[in-house]
Amino acid sequence: MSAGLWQQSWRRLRRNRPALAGASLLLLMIVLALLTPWIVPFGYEQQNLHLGATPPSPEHWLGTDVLGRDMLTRILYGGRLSLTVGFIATALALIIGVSYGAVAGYLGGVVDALMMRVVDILYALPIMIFIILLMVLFGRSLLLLFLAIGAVEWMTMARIVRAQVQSLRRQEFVEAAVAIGLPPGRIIAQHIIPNTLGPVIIYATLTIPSVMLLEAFLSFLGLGVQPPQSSWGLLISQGVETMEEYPWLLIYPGIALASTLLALNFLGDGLRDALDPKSAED
Amino acid sequence: MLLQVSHLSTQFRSRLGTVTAVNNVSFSLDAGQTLAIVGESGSGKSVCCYSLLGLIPQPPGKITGGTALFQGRDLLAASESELRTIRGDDIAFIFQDPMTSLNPFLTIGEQLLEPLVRHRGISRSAARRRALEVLQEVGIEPRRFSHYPHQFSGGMRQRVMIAMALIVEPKLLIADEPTTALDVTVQAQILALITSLQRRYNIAVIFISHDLSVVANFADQILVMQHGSVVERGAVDDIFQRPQQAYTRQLLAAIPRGTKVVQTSTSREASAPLLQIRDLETHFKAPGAGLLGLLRPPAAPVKAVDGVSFTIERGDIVGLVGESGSGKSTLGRSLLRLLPVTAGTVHFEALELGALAPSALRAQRRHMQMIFQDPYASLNPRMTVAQTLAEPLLFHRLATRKDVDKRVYTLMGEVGLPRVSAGKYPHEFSGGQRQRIAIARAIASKPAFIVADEPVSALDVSIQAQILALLLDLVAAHGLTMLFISHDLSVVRKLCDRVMVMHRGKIVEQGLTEQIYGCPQAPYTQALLAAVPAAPL
Repeated sequence: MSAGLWQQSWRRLRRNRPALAGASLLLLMIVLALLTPWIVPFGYEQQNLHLGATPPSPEHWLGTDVLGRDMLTRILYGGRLSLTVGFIATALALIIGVSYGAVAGYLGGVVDALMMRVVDILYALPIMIFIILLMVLFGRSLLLLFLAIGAVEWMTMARIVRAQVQSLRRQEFVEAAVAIGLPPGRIIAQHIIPNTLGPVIIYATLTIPSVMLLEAFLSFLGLGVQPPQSSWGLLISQGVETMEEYPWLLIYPGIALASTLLALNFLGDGLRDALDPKSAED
Repeated sequence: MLLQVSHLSTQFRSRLGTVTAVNNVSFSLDAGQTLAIVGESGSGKSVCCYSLLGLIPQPPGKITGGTALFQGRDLLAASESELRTIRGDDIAFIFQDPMTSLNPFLTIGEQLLEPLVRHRGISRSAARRRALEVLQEVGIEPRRFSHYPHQFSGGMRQRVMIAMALIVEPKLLIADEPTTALDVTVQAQILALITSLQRRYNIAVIFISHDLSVVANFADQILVMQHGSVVERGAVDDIFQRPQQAYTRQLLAAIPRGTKVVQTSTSREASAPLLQIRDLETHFKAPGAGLLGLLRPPAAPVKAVDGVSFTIERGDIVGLVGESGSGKSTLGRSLLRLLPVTAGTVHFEALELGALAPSALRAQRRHMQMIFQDPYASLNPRMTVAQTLAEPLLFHRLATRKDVDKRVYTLMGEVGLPRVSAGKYPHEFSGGQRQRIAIARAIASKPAFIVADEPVSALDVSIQAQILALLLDLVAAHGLTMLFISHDLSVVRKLCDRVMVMHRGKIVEQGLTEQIYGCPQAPYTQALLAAVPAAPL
């Protein structure tokens, strides 16, 4: 027998240059984020009020902020947090959304109607109030922040997957799986979910950045990360306030976020193609 | 000479290189004559005609040579606007699928008027009179003038298409598989309609078809194409009686005809029947389900299977024929409990399938399998052949992880697939090969009973003959019992021991194949049999 789906996918992915570049950049970001405490020369809360905001210099490569803190250090520490939020909350949204949507779409009928009305109702609730409620009830913690964001983002995923599954379950290969005698759980896992991967991956790569921005917004409201800790979103929103005087406070965190998003999009596109056996050119 | 095509060549450029779709094709046609272009899918028969009228996308397509003189004017050298005039005035098209060629948002009347009002500048009222006249000629009542396409059946839609083609009084009609999507009785009506209109208005017709037996009765000339080239041409009688080329003979041999050779061992022991079906009913709820559906008064259900009783003896191949919408597919799926059954019982040996718990039914499924119509939809695109075939084996514990590869290879051998294709995905195979994979999957769990739902109707004739032969071999080798669902009466006659005729959810007639075909009792069966296009010989 020939190579499995994963090996073939990897081979296809390797031939896709933009996706490979995206993956490399993302990997670099993750490695930097992991190693940050050991490679930065300054502490993220280390202030130098005499210095104030300075443009990039040999000592402070990306300049300093109004409190004289090294921007490179703060961006690296911010990246740790933003990447963690992005990946954990998206993974959560992915797991809940895909399984919820797949079950609703596959079972159909009244079960589907009930499940999707629950989603509609949750959709209608203002996200902020929902998250603030969670924070108030359970206290403020980073873990809860991840959970809260994930708990909001899964709903769109569930809708996308459900629509996919609804058309898939009418296909003859799913009927053939029923005819073989496979139980519903196995049909969903083996025959349905793999065929929804394309849109799911694309949406996941779009969710990661939107999650990062949501975190920035929550932090801005004082519900997320608290100073002196930081995240890219928070750095950007602070940078906006002073962008006319000290543009580097906005530009560098902006570049960090934007390049991550770009890398994610390229990688997502590449993954979708690589996981689709039809795109094989060999 | 109305149309004279000489040395037409068309190429398509793709990433994989240049494909010559039409290679040096020449033919000619007089007014009032019918030319049939016959070939299998990919033979270039459609591209050839579309090239004439600038209907192929360029690029990737490119007409690389030839001339096409239509009333003395070279179509291939004509400008786009000249071609548009010719398409509107002198040459009309009918396509295979009338639904996709009609605008769903306009009434058919509106669509009939448009060419007259827009291109001919005829007043609306005059155009309307002409439209009603044409509708009457194709057998559509005037009151349906303001109906939308979805309110028509497939056959009626094709009549609308013919009306649209005729309304401009063309000199040449190009019909691309106009009856392929239609039931056999409707097909006969449409063919008769085209022929009679052709005689009355002296229209030349180019009839593109994959089916030699369809064109046998009314074409003057036949052009057989393969791989973009003309293999053979000649009058109908010559092609059928004295075919010169091997490929033509192969096509003719692939036309299912004759009857099943009955086994000499008539002494089949009188065992209990394998399947006993009593008063089976499958109804579909009218649309509008969901939560809101609960609030509405229930609409009358669609009775797809409406009180059906029969038995299937062990070892028989039973044909189930009927037109689309007769409920034959629903019946097949209901037998296997792939659909929720409304009422009635299905006994498989001593088991009543309806009384089984879900898990017991799943275990029972290894004994009863299904082969589906569309080999493009019935295989999971993300699973290799090996994975697809291993799934039933592993699930029903008929093989272990260790010896599953060997069993898969055996299965592939049985259906004539090479071992090297085990790691390939469905999209890498042709339709016929895919159907072989689907058949291998169905026999993997060594079932006693198989429902084959139109297993060859999506395939080319020569492939069709191969798959039918394979099915017969497998039935003999494994002692299978089969319900063979088909709209093609000649295929059923060749394959089946017994036949059931289904009409509007009920079985109107059943019996031994030769009895049914020899002296049909029910009027519906008689009408069905009369409509089968009979190839000479």
